[in-house]
Amino acid sequence: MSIRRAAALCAVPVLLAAAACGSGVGSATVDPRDVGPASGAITWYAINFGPEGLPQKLIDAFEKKHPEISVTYQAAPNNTDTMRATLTTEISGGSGSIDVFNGDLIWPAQFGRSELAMPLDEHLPDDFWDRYPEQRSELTEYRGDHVAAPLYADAGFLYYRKDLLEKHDLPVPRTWEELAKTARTIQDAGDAKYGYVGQWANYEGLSVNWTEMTAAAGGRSVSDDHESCTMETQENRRVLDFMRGMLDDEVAPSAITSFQEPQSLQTFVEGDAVFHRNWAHGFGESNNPEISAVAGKVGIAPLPTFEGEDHPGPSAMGGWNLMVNPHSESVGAVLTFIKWMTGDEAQRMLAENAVLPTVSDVLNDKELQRDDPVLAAAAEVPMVARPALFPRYAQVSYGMFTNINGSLAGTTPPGAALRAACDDIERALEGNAL
Amino acid sequence: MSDTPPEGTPSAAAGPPGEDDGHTLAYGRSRHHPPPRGGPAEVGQPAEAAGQPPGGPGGRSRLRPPQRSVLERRFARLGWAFALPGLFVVLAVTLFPIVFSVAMSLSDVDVSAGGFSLSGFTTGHYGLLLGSERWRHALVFTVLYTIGTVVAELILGTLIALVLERLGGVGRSWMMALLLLPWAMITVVSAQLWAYMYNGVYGILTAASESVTGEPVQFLGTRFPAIISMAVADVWKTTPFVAIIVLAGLMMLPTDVTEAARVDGAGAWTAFWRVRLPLLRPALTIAVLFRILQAFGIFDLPFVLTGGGPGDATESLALLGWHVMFTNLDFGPGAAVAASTAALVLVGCLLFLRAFRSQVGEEEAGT
Repeated sequence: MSIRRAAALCAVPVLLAAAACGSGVGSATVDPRDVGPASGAITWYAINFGPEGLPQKLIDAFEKKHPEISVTYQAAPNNTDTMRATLTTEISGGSGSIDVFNGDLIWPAQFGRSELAMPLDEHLPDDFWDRYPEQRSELTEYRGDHVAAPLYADAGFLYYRKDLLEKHDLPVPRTWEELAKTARTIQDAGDAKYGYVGQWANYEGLSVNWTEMTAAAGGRSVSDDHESCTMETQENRRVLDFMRGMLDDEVAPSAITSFQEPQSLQTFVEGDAVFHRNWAHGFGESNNPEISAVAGKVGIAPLPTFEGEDHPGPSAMGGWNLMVNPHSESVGAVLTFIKWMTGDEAQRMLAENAVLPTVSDVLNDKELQRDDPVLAAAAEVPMVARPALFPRYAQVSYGMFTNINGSLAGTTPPGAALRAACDDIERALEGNAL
Repeated sequence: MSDTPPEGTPSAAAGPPGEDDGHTLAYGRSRHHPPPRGGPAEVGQPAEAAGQPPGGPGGRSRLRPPQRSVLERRFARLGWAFALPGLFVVLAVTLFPIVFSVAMSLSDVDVSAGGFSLSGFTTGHYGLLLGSERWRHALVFTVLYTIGTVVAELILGTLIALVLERLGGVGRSWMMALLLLPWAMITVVSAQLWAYMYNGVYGILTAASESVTGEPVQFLGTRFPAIISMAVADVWKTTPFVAIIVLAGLMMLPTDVTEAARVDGAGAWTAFWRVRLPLLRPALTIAVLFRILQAFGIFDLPFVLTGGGPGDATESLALLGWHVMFTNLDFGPGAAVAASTAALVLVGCLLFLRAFRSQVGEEEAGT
């Protein structure tokens, strides 16, 4: 509150200054609220992304363009949940030491509800959001107000061993059923220990894998209006049975129920698996001879679908947004930073460093796509969003991954698992914390 | 607290006045020449302490306000003055957070940019817990896990302490240093090491299990192995702590009691089981209390090793509280989980102490 008042007090001189500089923000229908001067020092809190030192490279380029603003990069713990806990403690405690932070794509609704992120619509021109694909821009809204600006994107892909498929003269599988069969053939020939590895551990990543596979089969976990749980459907049952079948047939290693991204990637780069589902960084890493025993032998394809459904299967939307700490005292500078980071120059830098851009123009740039097969694939694949527009998404997701994981680990039969998932999800939809 | 064993115990008449409850009791009774004991208030008044009738009345006399001299009162005031700054710190960093989280658990909490705002009074969060299967599951898991690991640690720790006691000299110092390594290691780090060993594909333990049974054991991927694996990591880390405490207890035991038992014809086992172990109880109590307090709040091991999985198999109360508070951002219910966990462990410890005391009392009455 006091910040708002202070901001109001500063309004007159700053507006005058802004007008004098002619650095207005264009065609906003609402006059941008006074935000302080677009200069000074700001702190950017983010999990390291891209190749080593990319955040600092971006900052250097930004500071060259805007010498009146200096940005300090503060590395966040490399774990989404830990980072959320840190941010919650800091921001709800009233700290303004972080001005702008990277926020997971699934955070906006939750952060919007808890006022942990500043609504941006009154500060940014209406056409700001046109730079993004519609689906991505929608995912940053809470109650009709954008609370985050997408910075970089991510999507799930199927990575496969080109050499093994060639050896057995088999095509890249288009359906999950075909994938399991292909994998089994190659395993039986003794060319790979495992057929498929993904992220089936007891965490958010399983919700991602689950969302992708069920979407391919035509299923979903929560209804569009966030009113009811739709876990107990034939489509979802088909997917869960299929996943369990992969375990029974030993196409997937039994350890997969404890696999997160690093474990599945490790298994793949050691040459122990034929197929691997991972995010975009999986391509660069599995083709990097320093860490991968299969460098140069890895191909990328869109995710498979299920028999009788449209190919390809959709990829889950991933990625990170920029969010503003409501306690920041340098909102003016932060907005300049956000505009630049989501602008052409920065987004191109991302694409050139194997990080998927969020801005449509850069994502669809044919020249960039020629140099980067991942970018080309990302522009093509259909996307599916986790039901994260709902503030209690974290709880919904818990209902999904815990029960699916329990069923994959053999603790609960599939029918009971889907029912239990619905119990958990419905409690969340009804607004109950437990 | 003062209604504990000494009253009416026959041996008390022969022994020193039973003013102590708890730890020093067992030691004191077994000694020929008890050291002077008593609370700070009695230190300056040996005459009064000595003049007390033995046994029961001694316990009661402690409740009378002691007569203090002017000097003592001044010292007491001075003591408070010195302690005051420290007390403020304790108040600020210990009591305030506890009171605040209890308050949070009893009101509607909104977390917002302006900080936490508490409004109204509600017991709804606790009602939510009681109605929640997830909470009940976490409670059952935490209780069973605590009992299981503490019992295992107690047995192993006592065995190790007995060996160390025999070892003596330089060997003992080296062994103790070695033993303390796991205890000194930060749990998150050691949990990560265990995670590497348990890794379902490349873990050394997985490989070992494969070469023994022909089939790799999924340590963290399936329900019961995950629970056991976590318990093993816990026992590995905290057994040295129990061993050190028990060793300290063993060193303080008078040797003459054992000798007397031997002279009376007791074998090694009988001497240990019937003489030394009962005398060790105070040390064991401390070890068990500390371990219960820690084990009941277990967070780092499941957080690193299993994330509470597979399914909800290893979700402890602390992990649940963290999820509710910091993943779902439900601060009221999260605080209720935390506060109820603290209350439960407190009650658990008190019950344990009580059971322990009454048992000691009974046995001593019977001897």
